[in-house]
Amino acid sequence: MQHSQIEEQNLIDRYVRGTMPAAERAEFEEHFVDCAECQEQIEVAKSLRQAVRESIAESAGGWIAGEPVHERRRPASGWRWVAIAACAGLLMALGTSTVLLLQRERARSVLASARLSSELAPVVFGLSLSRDAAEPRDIALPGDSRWMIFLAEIDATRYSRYRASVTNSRGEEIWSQDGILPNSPDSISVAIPSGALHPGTYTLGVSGAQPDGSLIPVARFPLRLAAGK
Amino acid sequence: MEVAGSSDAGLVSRIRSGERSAEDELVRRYCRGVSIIIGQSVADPAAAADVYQETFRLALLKVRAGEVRHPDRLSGFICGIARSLVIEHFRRAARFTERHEAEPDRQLPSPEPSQLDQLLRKERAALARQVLSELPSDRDRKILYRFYLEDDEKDDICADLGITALHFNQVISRARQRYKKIYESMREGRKK
Repeated sequence: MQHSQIEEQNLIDRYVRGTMPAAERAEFEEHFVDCAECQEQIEVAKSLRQAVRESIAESAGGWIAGEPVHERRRPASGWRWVAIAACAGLLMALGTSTVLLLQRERARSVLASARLSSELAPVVFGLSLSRDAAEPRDIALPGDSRWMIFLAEIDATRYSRYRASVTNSRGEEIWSQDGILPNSPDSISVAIPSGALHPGTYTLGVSGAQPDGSLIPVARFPLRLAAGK
Repeated sequence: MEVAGSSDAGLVSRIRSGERSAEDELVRRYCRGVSIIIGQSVADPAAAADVYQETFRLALLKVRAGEVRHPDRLSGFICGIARSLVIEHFRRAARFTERHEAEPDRQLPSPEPSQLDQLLRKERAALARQVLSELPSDRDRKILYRFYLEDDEKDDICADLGITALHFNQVISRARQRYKKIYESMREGRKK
């Protein structure tokens, strides 16, 4: 196997992504198992891929409290303990009967956030208007509690802050987040705790927040969530 | 110039004749590659280490016993052993899961990353942000996002963004090289 072929066919990255057919993979492994140059390239590619995902996840994690990272005054773990305590205090104060009056989906969403492990690596999904706005995007829910980061490709230059919401097939809003800042001129990250979502069809809506507080719809992404392993 | 004894067939012959240094040479030659192959499928470091050890144990056993049918294809032989052991690992794990599904109180090791893992994760994320910020255009950043984050195919990315395959390869290759360079400078800085 020639290195020019490896470069042209992006074998390094395809191997790291696990998208090679078995026969091609076996041939490539037989080459690189004794090739220091390819081994180095694979390790760098793997690390870079992981690093890009972690950098996006970290950026989105900073938006979870609805404020940008540089304005955060307490570490993320501190914020989550405050959320847990606030949630528990609220439930005790309101009493069981009042809890039952809360929107069932909303309460579950809040408690899901509180129970979420802050240390498991989030899962990241990219949403593109050209590809994902028409047909539902199939997504497997993680088998454990962790953040799901949706990287939405939109024109993020029109508004300084955005609102994201998830509505179910009955049109009921089950989750939302205000004050989302853009990652870049063409994307925002929406971080949703996996416990807030269940198998079914949903719509992730993104709206731009105008200075007067009114919201202008910017994008809608239909999602079809299935139970993961 | 390759020494005859270090070719695949030469190495097999030396091991068969009882040369211990040849066995060490085999392990040194294939250790990194075998780690990568196993690591692609086995995420748990402890399990991967077990499979790795067993791979070389079995490989040396078979080479000594003359079971390498094509000595000039030693690399393929080693890869085959590693892949078979990975498959066996998952079979055993599936049987273990079936047996212990009815034991809800069983204590399992925490899946949460250690403090060191978290630190490494933060460092990697910072390096990636630096690489991304140094890219000359938003379009190049989009290439990386779509390729590494969304796992889009190269052809789809090129078609959507109106770029050539050559441009795509250059962006990915430059990002990797830059990432490697920054990472190595960081490590060098730490050694001083």
